[in-house]
Amino acid sequence: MLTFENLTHAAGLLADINVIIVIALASLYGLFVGAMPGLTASMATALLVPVTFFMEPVPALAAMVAMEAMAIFAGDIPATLIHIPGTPSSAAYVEDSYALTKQGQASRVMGVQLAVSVIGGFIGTIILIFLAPVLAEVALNFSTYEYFWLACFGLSCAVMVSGGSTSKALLSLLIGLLLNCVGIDVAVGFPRFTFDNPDLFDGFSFIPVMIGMFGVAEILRNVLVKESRIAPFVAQTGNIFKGVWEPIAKNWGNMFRSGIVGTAVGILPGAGADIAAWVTYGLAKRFSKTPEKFGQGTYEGIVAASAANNAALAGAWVPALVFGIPGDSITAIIIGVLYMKNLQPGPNIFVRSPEIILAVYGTFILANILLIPFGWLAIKLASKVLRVPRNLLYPVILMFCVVGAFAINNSVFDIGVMLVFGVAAYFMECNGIPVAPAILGLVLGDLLERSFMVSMMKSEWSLVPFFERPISAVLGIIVILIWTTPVIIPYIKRKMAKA
Amino acid sequence: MRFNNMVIGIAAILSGAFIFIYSQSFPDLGDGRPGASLFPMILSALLVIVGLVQIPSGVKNAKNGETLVTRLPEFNLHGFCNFLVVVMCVLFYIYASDFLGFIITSFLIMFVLTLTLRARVAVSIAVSLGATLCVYLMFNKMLMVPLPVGLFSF
Repeated sequence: MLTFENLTHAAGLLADINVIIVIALASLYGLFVGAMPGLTASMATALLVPVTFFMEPVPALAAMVAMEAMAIFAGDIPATLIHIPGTPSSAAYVEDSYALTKQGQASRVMGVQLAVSVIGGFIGTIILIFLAPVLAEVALNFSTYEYFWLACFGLSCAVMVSGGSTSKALLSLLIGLLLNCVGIDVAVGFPRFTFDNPDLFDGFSFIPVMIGMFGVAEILRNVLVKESRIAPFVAQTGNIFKGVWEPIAKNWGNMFRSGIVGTAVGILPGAGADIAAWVTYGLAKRFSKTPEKFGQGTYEGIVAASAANNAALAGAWVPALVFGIPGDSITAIIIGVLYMKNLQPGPNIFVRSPEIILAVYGTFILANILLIPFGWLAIKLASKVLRVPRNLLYPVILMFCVVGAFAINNSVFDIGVMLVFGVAAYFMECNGIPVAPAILGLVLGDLLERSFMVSMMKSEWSLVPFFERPISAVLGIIVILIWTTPVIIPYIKRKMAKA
Repeated sequence: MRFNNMVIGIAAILSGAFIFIYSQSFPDLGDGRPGASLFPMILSALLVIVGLVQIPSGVKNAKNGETLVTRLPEFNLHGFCNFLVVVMCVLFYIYASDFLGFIITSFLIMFVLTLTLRARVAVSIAVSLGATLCVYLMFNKMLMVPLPVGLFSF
């Protein structure tokens, strides 16, 4: 894959002036959304899809990569200045950031966050570049048995890592999988749950569902609360890079460990940048000599979690590109984009379209380099961005949602789908039912059913071949362990307690 | 609006039971091998089980004084009206855009929404008009999305 010809081809694709303009605009969009409390990177990605729908694959993917990298960093800005995380990924260290702001160190904190976000982003990108092709090489030998277990693994991880009640996460997953059953089935071509409505024959269109679950649900959540006055904050006139080196140098090992752990968490299906931030923050506290300072304003937690959330972004692309299994909600949407561009994610994409993969790598590198000037600009303009009135912003976002949902198939039916899923997602979250497993169910449902039905037909309805091939057997055992551990461990603990 | 786990459990059980029964009408692969109904039946059976799992915690919460439906603090009259206006605006777009065209429908929706969210009238008109034209130019002129033209041809 890594031939001189492919490299020059990918570099040529990225050097196109249109691609550069797209990356710059997507970066500004990502910074704005990230810095705006209440708007998430997933929502921004869903709203970007209708625009990328009309682009070539490289600018479309480049826009998404640049946007998500910027948005995740920009979430740190309101967390530091006004004690409200811009995105959930900045929530883990908001107390430390704001505590340091109150000590007059806001510029330095944001400088540190920017620097470690760039370093974290590079750690994730390097792992993506080296790990993805190796895994793709292995995955080329996968048959439907391995894919079935991989889909099970992805869905099981989504349930386990979603946080909160496992049974409610499972409920969410089942809702997603059942929604995926709507439309023509893979085994006999029978229209299921379509109720003679031709709009449902192809199932629910993925993008309107995403726009509804992320965009409309977000708007509904925000319009319910009265706009509170944003806390006044001290103008940031100082040099943000002044004094940045010291906390980074003190936390060198912590930062690299967090970058690697963040990437690993990103690779896990269903676990994204926000979980990576919480996990690494917890790890940093555990390894710290002064854990009591966490939450009171320490750079240790900030460096760890801020590096991890940007590293997780690239990590999430590993399973998405290699297996077609999303690492987080953002890559779930991106998989939809890849299908729209006739680029089926999986190991074959590394063989058939290596220039696209290399261009994705290149964009990650470029986005992390651009994060320095763009991030600096965002910090300088933060006071203006944070003063954009939310009561004017939400109606505009709603209109983008409506037109975006319509634009995919030019169908008003899709706007209805968007609305229904938006309201449903809002009520799901109100009731502690996480949305992410449902989304993974929708994305992976087809792979799960198709690989299972094809495997069963190949094996003439015997389950034995699911454990006959070595990788399939290992994956199967891992999945069964994931399913049974939550039942077995409490049972063993009870037995030991009795003894 | 938060529902007691009992309500969630019963809803899951009823939905699962309906899907399970409905799926039995789907054709099989012949020779008694399951076909289109296999996955929906497995998933709906799991849905019933997950619904049953919710019930004990719902009963426990009910004993501790939780009502079947709890109104969340933000779901007050003000919040509920805003929520309803957003939903009604999207429905209005679905049913009126073909008749009124994109520009009028979009302007009306944004004007109503911004006013509902307590923006001043002049600002509301300016933002609704500006944003409508931006969205129109971007999607209709640049991206060639055939937005509804309506009876007035724009």
